[in-house]
Amino acid sequence: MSARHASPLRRRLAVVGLLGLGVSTTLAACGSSSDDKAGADGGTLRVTTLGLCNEVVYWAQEKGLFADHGVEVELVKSTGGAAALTALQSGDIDLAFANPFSTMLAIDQGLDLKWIATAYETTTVEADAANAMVVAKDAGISDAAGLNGKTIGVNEVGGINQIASSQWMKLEGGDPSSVKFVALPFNELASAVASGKVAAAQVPAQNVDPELGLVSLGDPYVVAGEGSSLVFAGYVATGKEAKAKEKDLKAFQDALIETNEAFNDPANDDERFKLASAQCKQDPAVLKTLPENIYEARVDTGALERMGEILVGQDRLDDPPSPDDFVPSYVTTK
Amino acid sequence: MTSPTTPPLTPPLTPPLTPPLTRTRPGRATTALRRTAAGVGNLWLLALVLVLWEVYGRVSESLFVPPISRILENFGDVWLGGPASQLFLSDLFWSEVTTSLSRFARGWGLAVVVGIACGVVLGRSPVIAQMYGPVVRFFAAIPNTVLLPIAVQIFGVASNMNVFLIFLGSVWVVMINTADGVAGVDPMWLRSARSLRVPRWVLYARVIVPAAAPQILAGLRVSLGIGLILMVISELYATTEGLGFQIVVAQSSFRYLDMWSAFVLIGLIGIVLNLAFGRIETRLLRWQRRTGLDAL
Repeated sequence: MSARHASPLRRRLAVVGLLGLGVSTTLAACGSSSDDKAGADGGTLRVTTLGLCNEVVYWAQEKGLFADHGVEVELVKSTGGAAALTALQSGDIDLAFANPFSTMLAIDQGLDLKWIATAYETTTVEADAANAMVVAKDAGISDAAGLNGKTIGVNEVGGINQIASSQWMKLEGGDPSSVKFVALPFNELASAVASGKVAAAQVPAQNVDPELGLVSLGDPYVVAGEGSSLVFAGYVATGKEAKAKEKDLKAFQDALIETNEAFNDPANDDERFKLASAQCKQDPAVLKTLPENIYEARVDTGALERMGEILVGQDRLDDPPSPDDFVPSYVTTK
Repeated sequence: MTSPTTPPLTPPLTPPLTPPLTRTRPGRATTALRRTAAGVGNLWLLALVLVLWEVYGRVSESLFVPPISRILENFGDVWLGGPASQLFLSDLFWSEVTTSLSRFARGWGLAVVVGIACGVVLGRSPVIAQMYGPVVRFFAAIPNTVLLPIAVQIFGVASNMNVFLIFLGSVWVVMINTADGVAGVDPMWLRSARSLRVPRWVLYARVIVPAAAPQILAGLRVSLGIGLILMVISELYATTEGLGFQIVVAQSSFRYLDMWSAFVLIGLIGIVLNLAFGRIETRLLRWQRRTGLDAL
């Protein structure tokens, strides 16, 4: 039989063979991508950012502090903490900018993650609040209980702001299980409250605009901390990377600690707001007026422990990771 | 007297070497066996993919791509397991799937009505087609997912937002297919109908729409898939319930098994809807198979 007139059986077997080969090759390629990329990174740490105005890594990069500590850093934009933690697993990046709640939930699902450095902590003073639970002035809602059965806007369903808001409601006498949380972009949350699309929203404190008719019921993080700071965000590596790149990761945290000393010095305010302005295209004069979280790179293991207990209290996990396992021994703690 | 013997004009009949070719009806058992074999034959690729998926999931031990057996086990835990009175479907299934399908039915149903009505007008009137054709093509080219924030501003955090997006994504393909189908109706049929002085509504109901039906139904089938995709996408954002919402919750909590089993459910819903649509399509177009379009 000529090749041109192959039997249907032979043709079918050939198709099966080719498809099988194709799928196997694709799967093999997917499976090997992580190791290949990790090995190709060399001495450069690929670190995610959210492009926020006040991320300290920009200052460290600009001032050459990473290089001073003997580590080369490449900043990579990410859409959020969960996406960054996912990218971490693929080997595309070395450090994910993420929050402790998401990180602990990921660990609970079996991801091997380590907390390398903190970026921000939350304040314990309401007057310095960087976040707010806003409601419309004329909505007749004056406390957490008034939000029972209502819809609250957050930037991410199941994210840190929903968890903090639920904890705030619980501690302030509300019933978080009766509330529906809905995801809206940060810049639409305040207007959604003002237009009555949602009853309340958890927003950055600067979005509490009296001209929109908004008032704050308080900072959920201040209440959820119960007199102590919580860890708001930080840098996370895989367990494998945390072991293999101990020197680089330690140097990264040391550079951030030095950066925060400069950040917390009022003498550098003009310079740092100018740099922040270049990053996020906002007026430095406006940036100066915005409330900020506390800049802190050292890790507060007690705060991480308390945050684990919050997750247990909300039935999001049964057994939170112990800071001894979660934070490598070489990381500087408070 | 003996009669003279003459050689026969035809050779003597010999029994045929092969039995005569007579068509005999296969038994029911044979037919069922053949259908089963054909069904199995058609599913070999799916079986191969599932086996490779299982092997990859087990070998890689990746949390993001778990073995298909674990996904199916989770599917049973999350979406099934209800009492017989609930058709063995879970409470979550009834709350989330009915919400999503209700939005889909309203959005897609509206798209079918508006799309066919406007498509017929566009297909029948060259002037209107010239005026509004570019507008239709313009909106058809816009990716509807980018309109999500605008839809939230207009409709708020409500099901109408999802319905609107499903409608907006599905209506154009129905409209364009209907317009093309109606515009392509053989003018001779129209002249024949007019010469019989049939009323206008009969012309549309018995000639134009049936003649354009194959293309209209092709458009509906494509829009069905678009509507399902938009049903899920519109629930990823600014919603508090539905299948898409469940996927977001699972993703943000790193519960990838839940996420995959929701994908499986959406896939199964797609298969069921397509099968149902295929049955309806076959029934509506049976005249075409029986006689062919030319014989209309």
